[in-house]
Amino acid sequence: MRPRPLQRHRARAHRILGWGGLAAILGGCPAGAAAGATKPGPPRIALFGETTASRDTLAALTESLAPFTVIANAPEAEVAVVLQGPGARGSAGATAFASFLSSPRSLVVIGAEPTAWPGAETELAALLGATLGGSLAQGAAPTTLSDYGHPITTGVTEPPAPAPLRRWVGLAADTFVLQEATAGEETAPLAWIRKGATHRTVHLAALNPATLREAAARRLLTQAVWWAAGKAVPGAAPQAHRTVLPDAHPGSFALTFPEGVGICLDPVRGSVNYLWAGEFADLRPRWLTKQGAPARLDGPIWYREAAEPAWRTVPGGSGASWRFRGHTARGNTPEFHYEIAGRTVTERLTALPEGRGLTRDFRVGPGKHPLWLRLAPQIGVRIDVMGARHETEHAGFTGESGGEFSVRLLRADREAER
Amino acid sequence: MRSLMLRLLALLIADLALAAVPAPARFSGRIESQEGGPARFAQVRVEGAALVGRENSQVIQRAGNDGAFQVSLPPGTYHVWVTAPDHEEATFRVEITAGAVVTRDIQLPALRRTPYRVESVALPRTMIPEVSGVAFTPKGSLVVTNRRGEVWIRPAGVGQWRRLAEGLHEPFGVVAADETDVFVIQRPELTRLRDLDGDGVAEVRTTMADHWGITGSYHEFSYGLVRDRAGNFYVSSGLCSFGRGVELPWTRGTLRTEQYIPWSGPGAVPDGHRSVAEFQGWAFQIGADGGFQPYASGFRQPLGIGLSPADELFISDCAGAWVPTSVLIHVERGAFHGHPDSLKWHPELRDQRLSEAEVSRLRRPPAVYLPRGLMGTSPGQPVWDQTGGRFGPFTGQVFLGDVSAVLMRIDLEKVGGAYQGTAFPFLRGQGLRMGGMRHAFGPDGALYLGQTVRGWMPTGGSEGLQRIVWDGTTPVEILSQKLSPEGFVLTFTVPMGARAAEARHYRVKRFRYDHHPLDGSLRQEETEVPVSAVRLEPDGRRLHLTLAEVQPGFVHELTVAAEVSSIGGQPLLNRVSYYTLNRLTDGTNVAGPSRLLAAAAPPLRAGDSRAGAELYRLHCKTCHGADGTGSGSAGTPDYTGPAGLRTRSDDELVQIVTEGRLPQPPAVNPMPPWGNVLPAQSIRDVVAYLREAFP
Repeated sequence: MRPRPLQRHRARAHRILGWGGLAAILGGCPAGAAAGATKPGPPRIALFGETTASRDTLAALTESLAPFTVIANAPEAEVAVVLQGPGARGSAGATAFASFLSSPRSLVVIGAEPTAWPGAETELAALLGATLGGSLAQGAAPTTLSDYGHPITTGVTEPPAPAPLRRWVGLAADTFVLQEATAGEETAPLAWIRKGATHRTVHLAALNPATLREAAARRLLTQAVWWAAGKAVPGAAPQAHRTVLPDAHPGSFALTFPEGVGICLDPVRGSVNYLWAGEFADLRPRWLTKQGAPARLDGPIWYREAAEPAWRTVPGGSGASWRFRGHTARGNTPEFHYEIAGRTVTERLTALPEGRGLTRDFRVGPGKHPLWLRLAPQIGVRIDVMGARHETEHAGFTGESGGEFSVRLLRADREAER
Repeated sequence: MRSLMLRLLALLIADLALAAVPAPARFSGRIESQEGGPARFAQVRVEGAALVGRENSQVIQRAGNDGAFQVSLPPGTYHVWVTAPDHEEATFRVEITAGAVVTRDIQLPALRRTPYRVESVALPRTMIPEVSGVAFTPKGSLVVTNRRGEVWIRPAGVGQWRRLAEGLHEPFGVVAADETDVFVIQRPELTRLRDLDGDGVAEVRTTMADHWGITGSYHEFSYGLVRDRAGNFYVSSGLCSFGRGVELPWTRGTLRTEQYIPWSGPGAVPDGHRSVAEFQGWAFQIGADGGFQPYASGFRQPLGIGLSPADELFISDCAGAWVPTSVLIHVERGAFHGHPDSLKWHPELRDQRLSEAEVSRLRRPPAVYLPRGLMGTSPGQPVWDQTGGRFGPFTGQVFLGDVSAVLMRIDLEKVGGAYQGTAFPFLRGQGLRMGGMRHAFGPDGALYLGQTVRGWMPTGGSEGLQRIVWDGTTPVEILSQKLSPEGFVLTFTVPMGARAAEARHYRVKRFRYDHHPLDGSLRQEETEVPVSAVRLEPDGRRLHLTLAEVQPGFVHELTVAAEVSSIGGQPLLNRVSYYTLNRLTDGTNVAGPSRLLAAAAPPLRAGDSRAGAELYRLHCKTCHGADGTGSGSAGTPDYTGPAGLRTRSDDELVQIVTEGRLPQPPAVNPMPPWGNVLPAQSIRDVVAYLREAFP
């Protein structure tokens, strides 16, 4: 079926508001198709929702979704955007949505409304991992808004949070809250995500047809679609948080790239403790209780090093003398600075597209001691060393006048996909 | 089978233990405001001999939103303090018998209004208001940090906040050189943040020092931050809560989990705070070039760091093991201040295994004790009023917030070369939020208080940033309380009326604290000190208070009667003060014989040699030897020799142990005085043991 850009639907959408569902606007939606594979370029999306939305809402939706291609044949879409709900049981929208979800698919839900879902709260709990628990602080306006730094929330300086806010509770263990609102002693999530093996879910719970008129809400929606499609959010920058991470010294960096590479950089070891497939470290476990717990990673670890010091002056020798000297965050390339065996070392970290891996570029100042960086060859990871000697478990830089070398850590499975 | 038998045995022992414990009683009631309704954030503190030796020697319970409280207690007589923000405190005694249910409803009168207005400072909605650092740039821009790791700046003259940095690890103090150059102490390091490209975000984060150990313990903080005129920074490190998140290989630096002085009492260690990673329980000096110097030791949770106008370092520490109540300490290089676990990292003492008695002798006393209750529970950062009168008449004095909604005022003086002084309550509630951790005087003359209580208390409306503004009216207060040879000289902020000249309106009690491994200390040897005379100078402001006895080594609690008022009839806003009397005006720091103790103390029993033997083992053995043969290096005599102890009477021995002096002139100090460490009865027990062991 030929994709139809959203702009071309706008006029038609206005004509058919009374038909009972956004899905209907998009034409027929045959059931039973498999989830579309991720393809290069902007994702193809399907729209679902009750058409009580006003002209302004539709205009806002149109603007938010302008970068994407809306297709009428929902099963071919990579992401479904659902405004409040696909429609009550038996509606055309509900039927089309059931077809779309015949296998797990990526969803971006805007302000879920249980009555607009065929399976009501049960279905919502299964899809979104949460249930409605009344209103936040009896409808009081929130006093504090938290943003936990995910690509989806890039550039959103203040989360949209119009009172009264609904309080979603009982969040499933696999959910990650991106934004939340606090009023008094009560806190409610405003936006959260779930990641499955082949699909992603975003619930922008605080958005509704009215808030979609705000630029921040439209930006959230656009970025949520990019992320749900498994693609890097344009304009998103790496995030660096010093915190307590699992299997790392306290004060390690949770460094996350929108390309889908998470890094535990441990300044006490002077290296990468592990890499995970994700773009988010959930710091809420650190903050929300007195005793705290290590931050949570949003994906599986695919590369891991041992706890020993990372730098030596001879391969296999003891750890070199060294100090962590800080980091800079210019643009999208974070730099980390060390003094190792009397030499200055600057490391620049760059994520490879589609989460394929990480490039570590080192700039080494002059000095007599050779520097050997410990590597951890392991199944599923290809290690390339450029500009330095590559021995099985080390990269060795021996030039006394200084220079540069690079180490590339590649996920073998992603390389195979290419 | 063996395992089953062991379990049965354990159950049997548990049953026997239960049978031996007297049935607990219930003490409950409701705390209400006299103006109606429950008193908000009220708390009940119960202390009594029956609680000594428990993990907490006091029971502190926060009343519910409806004002109700309920405490389970073993039978005994208890002293009860009830406090609530914005209200006068109430104190009373209560007798609890086994299994009884005692109910007491308490009504608290409201505090009077003060000329200090507490205002909230608006923060961005997207900043979690756990304010953990407050500073001003030389141009007057306000800089704050929060526990979530952000640094925000409100440029002078601009109402708009902007975020200078995020992603830091629990910052707990800030110094701002200017709007683009800010220093922050975060848990793992001292960091310099610079915005070199002028975009309002600090893109350069230079690690200045990270030489101390850290573990994954939740209760492990690096506190700060102040900088002296020479450019040196001062930071302190709290002990960690051992047993949670402390594990190899993820501890930075060496890990030493044993206690410096192992707990020898029954059951589990009463206070789990321990120095397991390098320099936990220390203050550090970090030079402008990042040079790291361990500076002083012996801290437990040294939350607040301040520098006097003369660049003298002061640190507040929180009550717990070895810190009997919260304190303000004048910290000098190389000094040890009380918690022995930090000695594990002392270059000379780390492996010496000093005894409790030796540690006691090393301890430098605090400048000011902050008795729990009116003086809060966990004090924050001390700041000096250098506003030149824009904050009222207290220029040169110290202000100190607290995690409870209390603001204290400290009047320090140097006596015999060391600081001591008076702690006054300044505000109790009156609009203050909880969590007063970090403070700074602003260019507007107001005192700014950064507040965070996350995890320790309910957070709703309890955190953020407030400022205290003086309305220009002189508060009726005791401006200062200084020590004199006869007692104290009080200076009032305004001329006082005739009743101020009557001795009967002044009540003085003194008490001391035990520095021991239990969590906090009861007041020891609490004694009334009669006020024998008062003299009000003709200006009506200076009052000379003569006490029946002036002894060092005690906290002196002064309570002025409500009848005392200014010439204009205004009562004092705060009528209680606590003077920590470490030294007399002539520098003497050892208490002499007391007429008051003899009168007030209960009659002493004959010495119990068995109890004395245990005390000898704990306190005396190190220098005198288990066999009493003494030590040449310690300069202690041989009790087993021909002269032995036989030349001394029991009274003389008691006096030597108590005062550390030979009874006849010339008085010399052959050993440290134990009168401030051991109760009189215990000293008699030690003497009984000496007589029996070394006849």
